[in-house]
Amino acid sequence: MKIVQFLPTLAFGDAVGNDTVALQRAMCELGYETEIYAEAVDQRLPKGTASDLCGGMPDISEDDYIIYHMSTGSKLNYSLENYKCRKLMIYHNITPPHFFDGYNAEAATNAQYGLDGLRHLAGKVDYCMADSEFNKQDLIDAGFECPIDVRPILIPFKDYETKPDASIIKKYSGDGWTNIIFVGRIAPNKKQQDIISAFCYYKKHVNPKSRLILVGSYGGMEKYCNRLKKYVSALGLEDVIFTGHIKFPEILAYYHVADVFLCMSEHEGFCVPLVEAMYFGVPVIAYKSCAVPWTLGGSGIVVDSKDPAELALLIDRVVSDSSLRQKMTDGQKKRLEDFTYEKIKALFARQLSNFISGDVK
Amino acid sequence: MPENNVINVDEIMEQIRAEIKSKGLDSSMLSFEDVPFDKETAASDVEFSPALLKQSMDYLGARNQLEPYKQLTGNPVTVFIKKVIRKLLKFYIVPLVTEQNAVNYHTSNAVRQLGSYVSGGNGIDELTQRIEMLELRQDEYRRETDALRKKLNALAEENKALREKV
Repeated sequence: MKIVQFLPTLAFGDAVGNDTVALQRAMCELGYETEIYAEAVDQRLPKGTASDLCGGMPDISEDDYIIYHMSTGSKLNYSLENYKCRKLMIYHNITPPHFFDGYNAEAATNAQYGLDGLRHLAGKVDYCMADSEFNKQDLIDAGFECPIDVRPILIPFKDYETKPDASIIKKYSGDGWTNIIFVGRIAPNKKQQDIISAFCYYKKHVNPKSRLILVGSYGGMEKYCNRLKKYVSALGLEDVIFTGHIKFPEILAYYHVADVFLCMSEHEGFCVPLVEAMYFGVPVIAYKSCAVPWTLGGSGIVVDSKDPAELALLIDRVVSDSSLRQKMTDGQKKRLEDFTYEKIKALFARQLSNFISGDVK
Repeated sequence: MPENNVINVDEIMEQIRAEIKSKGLDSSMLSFEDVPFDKETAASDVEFSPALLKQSMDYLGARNQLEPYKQLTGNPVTVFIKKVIRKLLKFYIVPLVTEQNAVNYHTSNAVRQLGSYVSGGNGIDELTQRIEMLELRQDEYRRETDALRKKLNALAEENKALREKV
């Protein structure tokens, strides 16, 4: 018996790719024979991590198990049903297509293809794991009636012990400036424009010695990114940094120099950067939407307003009130304990073993 | 998973809203929706991005040569059968791949050349963007001037009231 993970793209450094590789490691540690297959495999991953499907679909017997990572439109959404073995789907969420309207027609079409694929898969998998309660509800809304359990993304925190980039730390720390950061792809659903307007108010009316650092790749979202840059210029705003795609030690360095993590996203299936902010002790202010409140689990500060003045004064409160900061980071640290590698690995092992023994409800 | 509410967010937000009210702060500013962009542009004519071009050229450079021998998967019998089929088709597949590799090599070179040409400069686009930007800045300055004028009027009123008192 072996367990085969399938996914459309095994990318280097993204949440789904990291989860897949971490699960493979966990399954090996648990003694399962396991393989990964993807339509596209990022060349930066160590050789042998996964096989691509260019040579056709692999042979899988009825005694084997499939774990399918669902996060986008793919032919796999329609072809995995041909296998007769039992199937487990891990749902990472699909960004609704309307967010991409006007920015990237291909992304919008693919998201729609993904949502169609999701509805098609309802009734064709035996068990689902969802990254968050929000994702679980999404599955129910899409017509899934099989057992669904919540299992947060498996994050190997050990990776965060990597040495951060020294030049970034040197450049942005110790100068008395306040660094506000957001980490995540530059994408319309993440609403970076609301971060910019809040920062604009903060910098112009509260603290001129502040900078906003938007960490994340804008590949495929150039049009949205250009519009954001135009917005920054039109506001006459300085000290807004778009890092673009950067290396992992550089991302870690930005967490090290951050004073506040500001998230205004309106669609997240889990939001790994929130957990990263918890790990690095950066107080989080986030907009109440999608999976964000669940991931924060009562820690950080969740707001239901995007008013720039309110957010600016809130940032100021978090930056200047050390007792509030302490409470926030303590709460976040407590929540972080729910996402430790050991805890999630144990949860996954339990859910997987129940699935294999046919004991899921 | 347990919740750990330790901060009274509602209370903090109430205090902040009261502060905004008492100080008469106004959060109106140029909105993101005011920034023009061509909604009709399809994915096929996305804006030029040097970073994306470089990324694709790097990929083309590294992966333009196809390898006809893929790793065969399956149980030993399946692998054996696949090997036999591969051997039987070798006379047909290998020349095709060689031909395709030649096309890929030249396509990759052509794209590289185009990339160098394009990154040589695109003056009109830059100027158009600059004009657009200056117009937006002008809008923002107008808003700021209006806000300052309002403040000035308020100060003048205060001054007048003080003078009347004196």
